[in-house]
Amino acid sequence: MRLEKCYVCSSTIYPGHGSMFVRNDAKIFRFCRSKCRRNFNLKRNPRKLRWTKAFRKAAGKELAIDTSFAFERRRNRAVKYDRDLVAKTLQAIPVIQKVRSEREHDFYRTRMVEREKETRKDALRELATGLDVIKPLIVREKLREREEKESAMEVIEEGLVDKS
Amino acid sequence: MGSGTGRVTKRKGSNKRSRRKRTLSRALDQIHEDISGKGQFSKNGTTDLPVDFDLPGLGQFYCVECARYFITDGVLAAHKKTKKHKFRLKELKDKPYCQAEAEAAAGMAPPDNGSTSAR
Repeated sequence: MRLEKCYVCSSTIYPGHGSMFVRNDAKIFRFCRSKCRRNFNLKRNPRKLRWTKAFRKAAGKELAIDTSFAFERRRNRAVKYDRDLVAKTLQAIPVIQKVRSEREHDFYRTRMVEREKETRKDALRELATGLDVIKPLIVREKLREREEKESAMEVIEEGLVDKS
Repeated sequence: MGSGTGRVTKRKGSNKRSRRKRTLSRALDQIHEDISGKGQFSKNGTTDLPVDFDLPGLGQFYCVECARYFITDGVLAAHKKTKKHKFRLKELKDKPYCQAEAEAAAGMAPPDNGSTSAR
């Protein structure tokens, strides 16, 4: 049984599912569902569709380079049945899955920490530069008027002091 | 439909033509091959393209990047100044997407063909 991957979203296609397109140059494209096929027909680049695995890996949103990705692969050679090999493989599967999920989680956590720093920096910058925007215009006008009045009073008072 | 205003917009041409155009137009990865010289068309193939009476301009004025035939040299030159052409050039700068990339994104290693790998 061969499990294929969708050309667009990289999800696993089980036998009897999805659809296949063979282009006139004999290149094969497999799609997991009509959504993916339609997006292919619209000539969209899966690397630019935000919901695909290809986008997430290319944009650095998911762990992309790791040794735990070296196990699942298409093997184009027949392996002779070996009871020990099967047992070892079955033992290894959960271990590899655990390691991978832990590494993916770590990657996510570090990414979120970085993101938190960035958002904080952005917010502080906005606070420093854009405070005028949230202060209403009328309040600013009134404050200026008051300041002008006070300065005028000061001038008069100073004049009075000089005369006396 | 169209009984009130008297204005009926008729479809020009057949749907068959547009469908054929869509299926026959070359995909970006094929155009990449054309440009690199592996595909059906070579990069500066305006001089030695085969004469085809069914194509515009006998198939002599071809834009490789846009996979389009033009009627004359002048029209082809004008096309190369258009936004569409420039946008296509920009699109072609990226490496073409392929099934191998989809599989790598799914967490798969490159295929093991037996002979090359000594594990």
